[in-house]
Amino acid sequence: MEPRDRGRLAPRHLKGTVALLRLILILGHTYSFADSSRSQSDPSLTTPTHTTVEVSGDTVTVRFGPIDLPTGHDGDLAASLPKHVFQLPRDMYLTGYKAALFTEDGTPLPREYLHHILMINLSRESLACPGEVYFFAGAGLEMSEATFPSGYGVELKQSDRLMAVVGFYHEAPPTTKVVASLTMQMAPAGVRLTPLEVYHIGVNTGCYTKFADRPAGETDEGLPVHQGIQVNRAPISFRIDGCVKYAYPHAHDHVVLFALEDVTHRRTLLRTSPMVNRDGSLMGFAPHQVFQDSSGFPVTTQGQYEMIMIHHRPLQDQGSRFGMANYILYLTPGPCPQDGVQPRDVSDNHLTKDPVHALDR
Amino acid sequence: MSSAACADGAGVDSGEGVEAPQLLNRIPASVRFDATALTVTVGPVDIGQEADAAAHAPLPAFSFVAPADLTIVGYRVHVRTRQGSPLSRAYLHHFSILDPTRSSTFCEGAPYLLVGSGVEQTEARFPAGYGLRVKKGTGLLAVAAFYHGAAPSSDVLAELTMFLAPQGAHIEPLDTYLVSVTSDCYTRYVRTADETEEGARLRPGIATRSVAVTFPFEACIKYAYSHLHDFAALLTLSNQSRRHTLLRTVPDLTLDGKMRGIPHYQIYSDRGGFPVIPEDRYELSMIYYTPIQMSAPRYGMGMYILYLTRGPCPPPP
Repeated sequence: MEPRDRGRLAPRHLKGTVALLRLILILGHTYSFADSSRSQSDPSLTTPTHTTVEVSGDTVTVRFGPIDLPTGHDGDLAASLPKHVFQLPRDMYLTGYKAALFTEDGTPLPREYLHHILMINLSRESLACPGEVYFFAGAGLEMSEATFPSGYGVELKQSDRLMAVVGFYHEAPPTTKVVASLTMQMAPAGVRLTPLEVYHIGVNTGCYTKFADRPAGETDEGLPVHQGIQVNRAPISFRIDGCVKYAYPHAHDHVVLFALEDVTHRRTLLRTSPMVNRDGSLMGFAPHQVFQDSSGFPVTTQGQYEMIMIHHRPLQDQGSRFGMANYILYLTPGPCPQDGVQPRDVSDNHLTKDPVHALDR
Repeated sequence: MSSAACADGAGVDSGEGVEAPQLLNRIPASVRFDATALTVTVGPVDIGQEADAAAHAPLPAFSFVAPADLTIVGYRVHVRTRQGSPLSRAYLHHFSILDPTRSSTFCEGAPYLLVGSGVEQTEARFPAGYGLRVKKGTGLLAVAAFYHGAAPSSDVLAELTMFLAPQGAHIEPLDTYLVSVTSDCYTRYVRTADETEEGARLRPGIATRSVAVTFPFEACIKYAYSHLHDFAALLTLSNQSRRHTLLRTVPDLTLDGKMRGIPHYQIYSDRGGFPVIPEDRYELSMIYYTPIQMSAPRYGMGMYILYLTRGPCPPPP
């Protein structure tokens, strides 16, 4: 099966992200990785950035800033901070995450100040984009709180070299002491979960190694969105069989709906409507619009899939706009389990149903 | 406030010595009235048993008389059991109040639409200082229908409450005008082949539909009540002559596309308003997305009940 030639990306408004990913590719293997020699109780780094990593209980918080906006930049829209590489103090399972944006005194800031936060595992290769690094968590403007189904998590090893990347919007108004954070919820130490893999799909081209094949008009920010109603479609294929348990949605202003369809079996698998203001600017995604199901749904290398996205841009809206619609899919490799098979789980309730895995504790 | 359940002719118990409006039919119904609200209740009825192939079960129209000079400043519909338990919004197909003593502004020969609601069941609150006037003694009609497809349930009630301005309050009168993507005027139905009284048939996947809209008089829109069905993604009204999107509504849906309502931040309500004029061309568009595995016929509507003042909008302060 041919690798998908479209789709998957990471979080939003990708401009600076793409530049960063290029840098990752070039520099990844020469990075001076986070002090693996540092004390495990203090994985924070003192690289010449404003980035820290804090471990508290079962959470790992990557904190960017404080920094004064607008910042310098390496992209047209995003102002990226220097990349920050670190390692975890132990093997961990990521079970959810949440981005936040605020001033140093804790005052929340408008979500549109944030361009992206990305978490990348430099020690692994992307499943969706061969030859690229493994993106495992992130957020854009939507800053949804992701919580995977109970019993599942993304495996992160102590030896993995992780990289945090953040970008702010160039056009953010002057604001002092801005902090962005991504808090990752981890399973308690010693608990083993059913591992999730990460697979990105999108209507816009997500693999930077495929950028040369992008259609005319598509940029790092996405596909051009014209005034009025616009429908975009893109074929999707999967390079692995998987069982999708969670889908993190990412889209831009003026999106109306996006969906993933199994064309082979004529079934809509995912369907996402945003919360938007009356002018169509994105407010986020309601929790009930985020797919999360421990049973999951299957995707296969043999199936034909399609993603669609619908935008409506007000007729009077001037200037260039670019749209994206992406899902960060969290899936288990292979087919979906038969009924009655329980995932490994941190909860006692589940463990009592699954004594074999309880022994893993 | 007090109430009276009615059968074979019903009356309002205003509690204030006002002559009781009449509800002339066999379906139980009642009207409650006090200084702040007038509530029309239909039912209890047992629903969901009909074998009719149509999607909704219309009840007979109920007539009643306005017990006083009324100024309606908002309204809300909800469905519940007689015992008071709320029911899914999916039980209600529509609930409208008509004034047959006036002619519709958008549908010649039809009664005047005052208020109406469907599955979205939005609580409408007009901008402060504006309202719909109804004179005391005016005969009004209540028109309601439940869905056939709703799960069978007994003792179902639908209530439409019209919120009233205090007597003597200075209120600018509003007029109503309805714009719809599907045929909305039964005196001049010109339906396309894929259209029924349920709306336009939705093919699986994306369905978009646009119609030209005209306004026969100059007006200033102050409030827009949007009506959509399950699987709706967007409803918009645009001024094509001036290339300006005037209204844009994205509903709140469940993960599979069922209607949860219209979020309050998606509702247009503005004392300043926006103008519409006879000379300009307008377009109303709706987008639906129906899961592609759905084989049963589905029908979509997209309409705005526009609450407006006649004439141009006042200049901004």
